Amino acid sequence: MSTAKAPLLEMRGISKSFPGVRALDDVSLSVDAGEVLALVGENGAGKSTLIKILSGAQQPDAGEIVIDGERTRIAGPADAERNGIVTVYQEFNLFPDLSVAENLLFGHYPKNGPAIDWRECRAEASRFLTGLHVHLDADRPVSDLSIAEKQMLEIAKALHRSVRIMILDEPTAVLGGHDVDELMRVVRSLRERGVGVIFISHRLDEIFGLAERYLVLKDGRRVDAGKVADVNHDQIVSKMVGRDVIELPARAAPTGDQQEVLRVEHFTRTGVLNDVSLSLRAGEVLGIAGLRGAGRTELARAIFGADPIDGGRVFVRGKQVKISSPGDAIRHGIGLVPEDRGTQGLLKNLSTTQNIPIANMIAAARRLIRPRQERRLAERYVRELNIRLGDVAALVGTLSGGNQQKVVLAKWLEANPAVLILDEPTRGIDVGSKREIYEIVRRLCDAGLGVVVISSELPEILQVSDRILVMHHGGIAAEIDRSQATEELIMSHAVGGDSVFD
Amino acid sequence: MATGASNGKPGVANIGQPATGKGPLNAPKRVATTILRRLGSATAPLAMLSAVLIVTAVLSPTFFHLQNMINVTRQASIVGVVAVGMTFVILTAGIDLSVGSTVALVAVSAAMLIHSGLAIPIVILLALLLGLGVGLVNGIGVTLLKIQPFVMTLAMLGIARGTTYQISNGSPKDFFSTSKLLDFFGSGEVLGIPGPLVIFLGAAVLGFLVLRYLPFGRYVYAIGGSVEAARLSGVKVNRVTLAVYAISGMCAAIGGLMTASRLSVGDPVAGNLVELDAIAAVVIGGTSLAGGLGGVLGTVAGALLLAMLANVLNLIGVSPYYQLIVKGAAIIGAVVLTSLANRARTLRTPPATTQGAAIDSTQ
Repeated sequence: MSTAKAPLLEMRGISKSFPGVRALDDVSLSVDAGEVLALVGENGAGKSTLIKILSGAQQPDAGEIVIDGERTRIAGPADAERNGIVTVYQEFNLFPDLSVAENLLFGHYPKNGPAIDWRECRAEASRFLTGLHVHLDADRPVSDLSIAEKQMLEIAKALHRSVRIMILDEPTAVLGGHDVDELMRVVRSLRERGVGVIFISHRLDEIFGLAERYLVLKDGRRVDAGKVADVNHDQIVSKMVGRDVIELPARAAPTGDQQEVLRVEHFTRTGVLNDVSLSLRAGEVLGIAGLRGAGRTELARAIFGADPIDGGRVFVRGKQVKISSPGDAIRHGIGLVPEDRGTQGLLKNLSTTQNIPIANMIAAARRLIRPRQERRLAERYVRELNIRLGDVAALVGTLSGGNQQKVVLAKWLEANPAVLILDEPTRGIDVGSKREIYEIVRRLCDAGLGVVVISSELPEILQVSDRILVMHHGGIAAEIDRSQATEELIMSHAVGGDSVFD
Repeated sequence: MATGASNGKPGVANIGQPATGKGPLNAPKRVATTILRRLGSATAPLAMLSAVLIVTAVLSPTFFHLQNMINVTRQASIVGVVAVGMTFVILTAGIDLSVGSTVALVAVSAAMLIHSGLAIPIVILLALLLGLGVGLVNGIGVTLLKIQPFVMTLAMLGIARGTTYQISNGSPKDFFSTSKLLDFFGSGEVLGIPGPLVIFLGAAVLGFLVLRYLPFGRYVYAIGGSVEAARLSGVKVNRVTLAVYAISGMCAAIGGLMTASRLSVGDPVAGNLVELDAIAAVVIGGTSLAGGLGGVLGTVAGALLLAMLANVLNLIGVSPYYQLIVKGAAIIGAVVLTSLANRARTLRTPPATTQGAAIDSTQ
């Protein structure tokens, strides 16, 4: 310790409390230049608070931040930037209407006298991106970029500002397979440039492929830390959740004589859905796999009446129904947990108490709100779904991702549907909450619901599904029974058999 | 009944300790917390209202003379009623700039109808329908034609005002009526309480109840929070949006009747800039122009605060020029205080982990 060079960054004894909750309790960490530190922990473990303190968005109650061996105060985002600390969040900090070059050099535009030299701006951006092996046209507006490209641009922007410490907050949660590889490549190049990286991810295999060291947070405390090479996957998971992870108990596949709860026939929407038919029985989980853009979300939204279709029929419990709006779908017993819980699943300006009953108001055509009853209802769901929160009357946006998703589930359980469609139900959710959500899905099936799970994570599809549909280019490419399903088989259908990339 | 949750076993083992939401609060503190929670975003405006009342008591004892208090509430009432309707619109993240013109249109139309000898109850009914019609046109523009609320209601501001000038030839229309019912809208009273105040508070109570106890009220907040999330929860977004503009139009119509009744004349320049006073009352009351946060209680405080300020400045002899400046400064001060109070309220709970780490958009 005494002879070694001071680490690039140290956080010592950081504590932070919010009324009622101790978010961080005496947490210390260090990152060397050219090192990747994996920060893992369930939602609500304190990772986000730690990052906010490091990026100047919040002040710790106790503890100190040491950079290059010197105590440093990070009073705000400007201090963080001065010290070369950059955070890349899942939600991007880019101007959608400006071009790649304009975003990359924002605030550091090359000048020609008092005026911005746009020609030089484009040239510099192109040079810089090429140097990083990032293939982006400097003139493209950011609103045209894919999520992966936006992420690359964020990282490039940070590098252009001579970043020393980069925090990546679940960068891969929103990416598909090829893009993840690309990101990994860029993170490795960060390491070569001597940048210290703090990498947050729920995908443990990425951590094993990338990080030198790991730090596990649980309930605001550091519970474990060490070299990634010394541990295995299960050991980290058990540290995160504080108990051994058990595989979901095996369950008898539903028998064929269960009632059919949903049948979709010949769903077609030009350029989006190509003659899709499916059937779902009570107590069954139907997994839908496929690459991004294969039409999975579009299918879910079409069944739910959120997007129009050009042709097709829907039957609920054997009866043909007409669904032209989400309200129609809800009244006929179909629920949808949408892909993006932040903007589609939840009303973040309302409390947990106010969110839960909203779909049932429509399903049951309720006439009156009884606040006391709503509160009891919320408290019951908090118990039954193990939703961790401080106060059911607090805005739902203040909950962690896994708990927000449980509120969305509570909203649909309360509406009492026959069919529930879950679109990427565990995206950006920690391992512990994931498991709880799978168990909730099980309970729903046992109670006689038909469940559709759309997921980009093949292990998830394999774990929860009784039967798997693979979508490709807006159509059903294959139907695979649980007993025969493997990741390889699903993937080969998802990419369209012969072609390797879509 | 919740299918899975109630039938299923409580299977999921606890991970960490589930928070129960019941801290070790003692009874008085819990009562205080409950009251604060009930008041919600209206806390700051109500506190300011109380503060101004106390300062006023020191500066100008005449303020508390009964006659003066009655005057203040009368002044607050017209803007107040309009602001109650405006609250609904702003909660959906919309705006209604046409209410001032609607006040004039209804005032002049009602005056002319009364002058032509139509029975008062029928005139009142027609006036409300006129306001409803204006509101529905606004709503159709915003929903079906997808015109931005600012633009649609700005256009309606011109259309309604122009129509008013056209039908009145630009001159005030006086009328004579001995109707107690009409009088109630302007100078009448019950049990010593001014009629306009009764109407204002009645509208406010109704608005409060609708927002709190009807699913429709919840949908209004939902749309203000996220149109897409509201839609995917089954809310008929267009229908609710149409309704809030209709409510705003009706409230403006009531304001028009109050104006006409008080002056016994339908003045085509009536209601000028009422839209801005109403918006100011709503915003001072803690309702966010971004939608989804706030409520009628704050609006009542905002409207009273504005009227009181004008009254006190008059009583202590501040010139009308200065009054405008003070009013502007008061709006800024009130909004700053409200947003600080709101931030303090939302920060009581710790922020989310991993999700929503980016810029917090909560106002």
